[in-house]
Amino acid sequence: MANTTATTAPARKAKPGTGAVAISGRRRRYNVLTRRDKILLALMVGIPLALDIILIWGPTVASIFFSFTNWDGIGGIEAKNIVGLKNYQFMFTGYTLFWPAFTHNVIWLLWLTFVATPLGMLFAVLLDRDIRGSRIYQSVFYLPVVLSLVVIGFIWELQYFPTDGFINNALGLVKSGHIIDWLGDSRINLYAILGAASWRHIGYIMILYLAGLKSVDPSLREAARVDGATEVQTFFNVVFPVMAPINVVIVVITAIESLRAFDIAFIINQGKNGLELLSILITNNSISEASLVGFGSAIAVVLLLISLVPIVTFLTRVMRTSQ
Amino acid sequence: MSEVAGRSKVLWSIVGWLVVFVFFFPVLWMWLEGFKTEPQAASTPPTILFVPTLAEFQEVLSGDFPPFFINSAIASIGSTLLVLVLGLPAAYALAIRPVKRSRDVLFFFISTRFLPFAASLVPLYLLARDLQLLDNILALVLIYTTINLPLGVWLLRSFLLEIPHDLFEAARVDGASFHHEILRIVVPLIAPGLAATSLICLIFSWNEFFYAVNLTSSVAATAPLFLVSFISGRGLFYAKLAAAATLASLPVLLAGWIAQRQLIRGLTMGAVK
Repeated sequence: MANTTATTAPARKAKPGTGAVAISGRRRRYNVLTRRDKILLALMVGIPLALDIILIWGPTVASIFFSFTNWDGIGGIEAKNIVGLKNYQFMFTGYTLFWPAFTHNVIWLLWLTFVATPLGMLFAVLLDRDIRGSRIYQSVFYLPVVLSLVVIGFIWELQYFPTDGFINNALGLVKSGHIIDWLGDSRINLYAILGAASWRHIGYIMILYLAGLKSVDPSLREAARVDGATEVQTFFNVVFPVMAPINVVIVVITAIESLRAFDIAFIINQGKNGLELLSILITNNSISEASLVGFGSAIAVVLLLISLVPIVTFLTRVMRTSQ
Repeated sequence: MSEVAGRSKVLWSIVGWLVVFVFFFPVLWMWLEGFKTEPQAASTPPTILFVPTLAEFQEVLSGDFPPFFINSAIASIGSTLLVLVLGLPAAYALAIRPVKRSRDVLFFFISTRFLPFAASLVPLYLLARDLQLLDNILALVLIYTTINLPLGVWLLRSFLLEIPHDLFEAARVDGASFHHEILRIVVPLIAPGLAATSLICLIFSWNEFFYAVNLTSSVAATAPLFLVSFISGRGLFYAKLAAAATLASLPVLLAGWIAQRQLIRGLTMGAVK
């Protein structure tokens, strides 16, 4: 490395005079770079990039390819393994767990989007009004955000258990004998774990939105107040539009979190009996004795396609605003 | 007028504290369970008043929990260090010396951050199997590095962009080389940013469960897996499990408390400060 220093430094020092002076700062810096600098820079960016390509995007694309095969993951893939759309056909028409899992993912998405996220935003707006003790409020809402979903699953099991859980006892249901099996009854257990997921999500959205609210120029609100706007009017007509970039971030985070849902359902009952989710079906089919690599991959492709909607939305929005 | 305003303020405070208590209660309840004896923890109706005991904590610490905890520590500290070593140069290149297609690279990074992990899991699992890396902590270190790198690069870049450009220009005129510039100027200036990034990466990798449960089984299993195996494997020991869950969350609570302000920045890839 010492040699590099000796050879490149004078070269760079000598160049600025020869470069075009009138060009903007960013452009000039780029021109000043020597060939060696450029290779070094390419490596600095290239290694992390390669890791992400090899371990994230590569496997994702491979999933798409596998989804057209009946490969079991053992030996090579031969021509006879390629089955076209058969996996998809079976998934949509013959596999009884697919539509329930798909529906659960959609319910999860709708619930977080239309219930948990607005609640988180509401709490943020309320907290932004300079209430006494708001630091304690923040810390409490922040707590579930740093806890792992596994711990969150356990925390809520302690609340939801039929006879020794807190909720049924607090409601007096154990005493009266009308026990609600929050986690075992397949008609309600999805909503029970959505309660746990919302608990975390509300905190998540609250701290993000609060940070956004704090960054809104106070003079805007002042002006609205002078014009006689009520607090509600000020929020919807002044603050909310200004927060557009953060609103997009929040919507996308909500969508991604819903599609990634796995941990809590897995902990409660390994995603069975009313808690099926696409991510759980993928692992159950492919990483198990069944070893249905091809079929599991087809489910992965469906999940990927749904996820691309928020990803593309986010990227186009961010790219537009950063230009 | 002022009396009405005062009264509504008191009302708001009461509502606020109530919401906070309801929100906090589930965590508090788990903490309390850890300090109970096993019969107290499983009693119906729940035991509210009890003499706290550290017995379950002792049992967890002297039992089979420590190896899981150590695996978690290796996976999260190892991957965090790698994120810093690989991420800082990349962030530097993308922030201070933007080359052609920098923006494309940045958005590529962000796209990997948002992909559902389940979509890439199966091929990754097969890859780990063929490389003999299943149930190997190295696999988790590598994958955690990869999933946290986009975040690390974006975050560190956002910190780097806050450094006045003149400082770099001055260093360059003085003939400082790349690694000189990074070590002598960049690192000290963004030390708080590096600390924040590490804490955030630590929290994320410490809490990670999806890859851990699918790529490891016993030798390399991390703390969350201990809790899960306990829930499904040995019947339920509420007090012991609560003690283990409390211990397993201590590092992230500590990291989260220190990085409270920066976490928001991390969660939004540096978009919100």
